[in-house]
Amino acid sequence: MKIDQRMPVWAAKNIYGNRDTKNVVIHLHPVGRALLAKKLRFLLGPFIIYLIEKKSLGGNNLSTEELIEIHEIEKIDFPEPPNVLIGVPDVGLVGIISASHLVTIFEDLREYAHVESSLFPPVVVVHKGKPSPPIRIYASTKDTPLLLIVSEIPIPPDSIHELSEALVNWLEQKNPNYIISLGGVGVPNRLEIEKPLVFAIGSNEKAESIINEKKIEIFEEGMIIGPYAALMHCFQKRDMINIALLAQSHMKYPDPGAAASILEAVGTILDVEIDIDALLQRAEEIRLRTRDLMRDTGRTMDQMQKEREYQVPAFYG
Amino acid sequence: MPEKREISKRKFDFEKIIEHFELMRRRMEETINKFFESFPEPFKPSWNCETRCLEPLHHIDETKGELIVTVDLPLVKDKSKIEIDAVEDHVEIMAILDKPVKWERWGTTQREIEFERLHKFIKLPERINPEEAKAEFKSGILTLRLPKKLTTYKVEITD
Repeated sequence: MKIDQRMPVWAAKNIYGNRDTKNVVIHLHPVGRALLAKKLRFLLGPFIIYLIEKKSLGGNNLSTEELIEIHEIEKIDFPEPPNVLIGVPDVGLVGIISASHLVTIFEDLREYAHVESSLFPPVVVVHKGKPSPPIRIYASTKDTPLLLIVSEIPIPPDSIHELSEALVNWLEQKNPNYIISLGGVGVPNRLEIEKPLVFAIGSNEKAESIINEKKIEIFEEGMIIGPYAALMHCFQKRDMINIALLAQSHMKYPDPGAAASILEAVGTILDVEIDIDALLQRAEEIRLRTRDLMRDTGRTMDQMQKEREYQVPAFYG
Repeated sequence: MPEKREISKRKFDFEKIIEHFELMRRRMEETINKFFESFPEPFKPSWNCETRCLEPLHHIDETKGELIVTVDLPLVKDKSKIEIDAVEDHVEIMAILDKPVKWERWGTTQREIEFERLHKFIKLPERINPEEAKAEFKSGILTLRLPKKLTTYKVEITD
């Protein structure tokens, strides 16, 4: 049995008894998570860690490929290197709102692959009567090939590193051109900003030169926390061209205005025209519809101490 | 005489014990409250079919003197559609949507329902002065400034 590092063993035993539970990964119950996150960890932490060390059978030693499977529904040969866009729930849901809009307006984007893992909660989303996993990859081969990676659930913090590693391994085989992360950066005075600015971070010199060439503002100093940070780190290690776009956004309210700014920047980088009028017209409805996802994402961001993005990094020069 | 002194001493001790118990009770209460506050909110749906209300997102910020509560109220036309009731320990917000919302493809029972209002009951982490509360509605976000109910004494440095 594979036991999450912070999983109290007694709970694992209660759930799984003596059954053969090979490859089962158990996540810490929210109550346990809260206990560990707060002061009580000093009281319970050592006890739980003792139990885990005593009972776990060697910890989690599965490889990334074994933990996360990217299942391709059909075989697609891209005529030229595809551009990749990544939209996952994060600050202001900028990524998922932009991605959702792209799927609506580009009719040739179709479901291409599913990302499956026991590290994710057991969720299936149903659209037009068809069930699919919440983390999916769309593809389009028309004109310039495009891959769009979307998640309809907040990425569980415990799985961010594995997921990033798996996605980067998979993308490397596809020989991508530009990889653009669609994100937001929380600004406390968002209400006073009419049109959010977009900032960009490049993973290597090539990415930086594209940002400069397209006249997008560079994100000079600061911190990013969460899935886009882990992805950036992986892309940087492999010298792949990753541009993380961050629009000024509400931290914990869905922000279609920020998503529109991001899509404009994507259009500039990829030299494609993206119609954002429909997005802005439906902005209020989108804000209403995405409340639940924003609430869940807010909780996940709290676990990752996302508000530390407001901090200034200590290293100066 | 010695007898009398003993009785008064006993009485004194008894009061001390009561005081200690009271202190213990308060400490335990504080600890228990902190313990339960650390739990995540139990899951409940963000809509209510009976009242035809949707629950908006909200956020509480705190400064030294006030609580700043923001509530996201999309599809609410202007401030005349919003009603705010503030009491010392909670605020209740009711807003009428510009047009009723119905999601035909969503869920099993929800698809039949038209939601007409947004409603949120917010329990405040500290007592406030409702008479001095102020509200602003801009870009679909309601901002409430709620002064805390506290008395501050300036402490003078004598030496």
